Amino acid sequence: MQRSSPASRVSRRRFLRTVPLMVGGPAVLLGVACRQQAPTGEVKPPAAGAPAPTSGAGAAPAATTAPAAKSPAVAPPAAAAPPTAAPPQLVATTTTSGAAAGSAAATGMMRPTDGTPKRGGTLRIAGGTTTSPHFDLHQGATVHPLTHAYNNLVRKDLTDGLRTLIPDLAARWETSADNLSHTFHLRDGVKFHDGTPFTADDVVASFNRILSPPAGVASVLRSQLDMVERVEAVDPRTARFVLKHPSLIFMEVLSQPAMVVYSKKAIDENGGDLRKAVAPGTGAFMFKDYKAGEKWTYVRNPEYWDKELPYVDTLEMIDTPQLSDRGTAVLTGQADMTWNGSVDTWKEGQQRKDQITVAQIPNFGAHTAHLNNERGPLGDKRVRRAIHLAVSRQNIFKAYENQEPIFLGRWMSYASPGSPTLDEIGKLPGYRADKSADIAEAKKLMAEAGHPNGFGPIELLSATAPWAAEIMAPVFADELQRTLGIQTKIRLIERGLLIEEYKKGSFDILVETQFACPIADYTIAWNDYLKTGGSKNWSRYSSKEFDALLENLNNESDPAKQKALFQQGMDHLDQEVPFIITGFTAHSPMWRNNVKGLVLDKRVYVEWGRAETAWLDRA
Amino acid sequence: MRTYLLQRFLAGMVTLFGVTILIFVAMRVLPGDPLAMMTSESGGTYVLTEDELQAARSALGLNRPYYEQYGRWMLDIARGDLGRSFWREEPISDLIVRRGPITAQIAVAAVLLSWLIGVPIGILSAVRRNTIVDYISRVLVIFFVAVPAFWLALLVVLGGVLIFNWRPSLTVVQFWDDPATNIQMTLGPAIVLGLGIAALTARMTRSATLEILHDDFVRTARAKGLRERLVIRRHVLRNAMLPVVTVSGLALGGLLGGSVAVERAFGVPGLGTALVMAFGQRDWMVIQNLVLLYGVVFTFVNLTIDVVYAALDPRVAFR
Amino acid sequence: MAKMEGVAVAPAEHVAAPWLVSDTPAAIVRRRPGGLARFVRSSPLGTVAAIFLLFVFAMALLADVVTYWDPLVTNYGLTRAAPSGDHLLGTDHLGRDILSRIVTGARISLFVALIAVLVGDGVGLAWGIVSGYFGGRVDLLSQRVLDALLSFPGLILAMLLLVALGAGLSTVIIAIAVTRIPLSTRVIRSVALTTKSLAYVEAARTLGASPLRILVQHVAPQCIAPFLVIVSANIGVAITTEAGLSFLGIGVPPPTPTWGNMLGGVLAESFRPPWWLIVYPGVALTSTVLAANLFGDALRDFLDPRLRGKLTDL
Repeated sequence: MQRSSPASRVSRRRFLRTVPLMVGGPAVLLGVACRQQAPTGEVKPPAAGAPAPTSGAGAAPAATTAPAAKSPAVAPPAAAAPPTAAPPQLVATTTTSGAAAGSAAATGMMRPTDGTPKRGGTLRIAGGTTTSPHFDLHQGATVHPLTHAYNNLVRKDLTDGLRTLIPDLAARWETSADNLSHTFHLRDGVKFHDGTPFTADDVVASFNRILSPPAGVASVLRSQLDMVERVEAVDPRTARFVLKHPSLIFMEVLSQPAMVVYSKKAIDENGGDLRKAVAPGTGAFMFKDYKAGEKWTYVRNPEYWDKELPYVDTLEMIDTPQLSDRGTAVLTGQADMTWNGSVDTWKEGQQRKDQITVAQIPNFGAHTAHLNNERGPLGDKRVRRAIHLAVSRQNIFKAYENQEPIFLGRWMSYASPGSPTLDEIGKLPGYRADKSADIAEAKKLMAEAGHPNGFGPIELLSATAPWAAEIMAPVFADELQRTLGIQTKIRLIERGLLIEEYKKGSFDILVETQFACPIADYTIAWNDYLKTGGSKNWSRYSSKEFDALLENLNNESDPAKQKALFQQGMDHLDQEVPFIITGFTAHSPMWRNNVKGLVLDKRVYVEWGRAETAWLDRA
Repeated sequence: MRTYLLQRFLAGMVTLFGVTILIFVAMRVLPGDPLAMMTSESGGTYVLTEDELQAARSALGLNRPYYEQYGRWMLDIARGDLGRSFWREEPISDLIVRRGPITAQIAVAAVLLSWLIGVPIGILSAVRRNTIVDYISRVLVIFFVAVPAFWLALLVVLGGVLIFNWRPSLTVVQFWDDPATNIQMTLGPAIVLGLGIAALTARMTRSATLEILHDDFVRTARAKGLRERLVIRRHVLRNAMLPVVTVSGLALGGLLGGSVAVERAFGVPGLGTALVMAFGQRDWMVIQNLVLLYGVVFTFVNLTIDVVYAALDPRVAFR
Repeated sequence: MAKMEGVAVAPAEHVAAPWLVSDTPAAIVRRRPGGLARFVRSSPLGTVAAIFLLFVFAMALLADVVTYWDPLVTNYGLTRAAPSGDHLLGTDHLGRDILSRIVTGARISLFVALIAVLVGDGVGLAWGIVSGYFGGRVDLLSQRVLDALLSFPGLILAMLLLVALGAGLSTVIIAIAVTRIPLSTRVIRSVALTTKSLAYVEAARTLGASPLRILVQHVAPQCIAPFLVIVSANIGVAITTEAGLSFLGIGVPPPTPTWGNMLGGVLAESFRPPWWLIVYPGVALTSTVLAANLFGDALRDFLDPRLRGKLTDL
């Protein structure tokens, strides 16, 4: 009954018929699909004509570098740091009755020059991601949503495009003859939002917390204040910084948006940890509300020490992670301005001159490919220099141009002090467009190093973010392969997990945006990324010669000598090539025509920071 | 009846337990130490020292044995402490209170829409079987079952942009704050999701109605001379509701899942987008508790469906 | 049962499944010869759908040969180009040809869906048979586990598993496969239960046949047809789930094209998105899922209309 029953016989046959089909089909697909896994990069006939890989989507990098990179670009003729005798424009009169309009800024009172400001309204900024791990600026919180509630000791003038260093909480200051001691005379009548009066003790408490944080408190700004020996309160209205060595960047460091002054009371009451809640500040706006991932709301501080500011009643920062969303928000009127929009929305904004104004401002963040100096062929500096010579920056820019504006940079932003101009850089080997001589030289170097036909495959690590995975990584890989025969295998991991790779040093090449500086002067970044054992020296570059140069650079107080040292450094780095810099980015702010007072089109560098001089030209 | 309900309730509790176990197991196997990610998407690199990492780890209880972690988690949930987002220090319960209504609004509106559209079409299709009306509705139904909801959403957004120059709002606006903007924000997703479920509902209604139309008691009603419309209303509808209820229950699962992608397509700041963001940032606590929320909601909905079903068809309880 | 022969089985609503009603295996034999021809006759729509699926399958296999442009190579001079003679469906934001990306995307979309469904439903088959036939505590425990699995919306369960397992091709397949397990187990289980009580199976047991023998010779064959129906019904869902995951950016990582992540890329283009970036991948998705659904429906109506309604899963 059972064994030879027609039912089972037939159904077994049917079974055997369908199974191979069900298994074989997918198996074939499997085999074929697996081949497809890695990008082959083979160019089919008509696809040529365009430089192959490399364009990155801009959302992540722009936003990443922005908060860290707000510093005065000093390309135009602004004075750097005060020498022994402070130049006239940096010293305020001691009278509190306010100086004449022309020198209003000299007393730290910024006044817009684009019309008579009107009061009222809400300024809505499509800011970018406003999520912050917490609310403590000195422990690494996201700067741009928080900075509005605070003041620094000194800051850059919002109304002249961040060219001039002007008083903020420090009404005036003096520097000792040996450039080691900076005395700040603090403003009178300033109060924190909770009513606490502002004194020198607050300055001391804030900066001591940065310099020697209590247990459990991180201090991300400490390395920038390396030159400070101690801070002390001379009297309730005077604070003094004593430096270990003269420093040209000290005042600039103080002016960057994260260097705010917290109240001693808040610090003490919270055991030195201000992460849990927005601490009261002295700033033009008072924190009102925060909806995570959506919006920050600030209201005007009626007790602000500058009686005229701010002009608007409310300030809102809307969370818009996507660059194109930010631009769109401005174009559709859902927001009044954005610090950085996407290229396509920016171009659209350019067309709509009757409604929107746009600008392009240099940023202090770069796209890089970190080469692990401690591994394999990349450990040989000839190989690294070969890569530097052979990889075409111009190809990369072409690929990336729809994401973000990107430009050449020689070991610092083209807008940094000490940087050659873009034209000058564009003539140098490795940076220039005409690659023929450079590639020939590169091939020679590779042969010398024992890799005449390239090598590989080595691993090229990149974030899964589209700008990296779809543009930067593939383009870079293609350049390496095409010019020098270096084979790479691209591996993608989530951006948040990349840091483990940096720390472990388990990569060969890492494509990232890791060469940012909080101020225009790239000394800080050179220390972080290029000094032996530097906190961000992911490439593990080590050179005694360069370390010595850095020592001199850190201690230099003469701007001319500093420039010469930068030049020396750049020459050295071009030869040793710790990592590859693909380019430095710029931001593309957009704002509706009724937003005035911020002079974004005149800014010499990017700063996602305070906006108290903004006013809305309401009908 | 009461024992049946009790049975279902107990089964539901057991299921919930299973749900928590599943989530717990999945989240503990998480590769990549969540505490290793100190780079937020917007800011610079914030590096924790080993001590800080250890401190955070013990604060979150990641060092304890599994059963202790599980117990702690359950206790916290029972107390209403849903933890905090690791990245934003925001209590997750706040997140749910703020974004939950948006997602719930969309879900409820979608289900209502599916009844309003799906049931009439299904009945019409059955009653006018094999006519042009039937064919058209079947084509539509087949189409909307196959169409991915998030694509439909993209098309709607595209249409809105190109034709009306409209773009979805960027911030959360609750209904009680600003009904106009709120409706604007939730209507799109509700319609898109609703259409998909309406198609399934229509299909189910149609086949259920067809079955009933041939049933004895309907024939009797017709033989008695009852008007067709009355026949439908009094006898057919009530019985056709049963499968509709079943479908709605199953559909809710698809809705909760599909709403994530649709929310993302529209850019609606609901729980779905929060979940996706949490996923991208490996915001561990948020993922864990939000998924739990979805699971709990779904289990309770299923329970409700069972109860409603039993109310509509008492035979169920006595099987 | 003889009178069931020759009668068009689909799309009639309540014709019972021939072989499970009767004890005599003979009924099954009479249906088998000319199965394909009968299928075509019974459902022309289903046949068209099947042909379309085969076409997509073939395109996916032959993608390298068939496509003119390399789907991965970028062309920065021609980004976001509208459909033209050179690029029939236009180019995307990196200048890659959309048509070739769609054809290549079929590969991953289909491949992932097929493997996931086969694995998931295969597990469901085995589990359902064991659970249904042996019953007892195994069955009870299984029911609870399945309940728990079913308490998650499909996409959410897949997301949870992907968080646990990490991103990647194989983990996406596993995640989707797991979402397919519960329903297939349930259906197979009920088939196994019904088979268990058939007269001739009981007789076989009484005569001393080992459980394994019974499972292989009697239970398993009865499950073939339902299994085929389940698989074909699930393919559409699996394709949609994979597309949803890729759309959200947590499925197959770039630059490998799948229809889902092609649509996901559009999210970064909120201002004036080029319509060809949205329309074409979606059309590919919809038509394939449509064909899979139609084929699945037709197959089900052909083999066992009683399964209608049991397979509704979203």
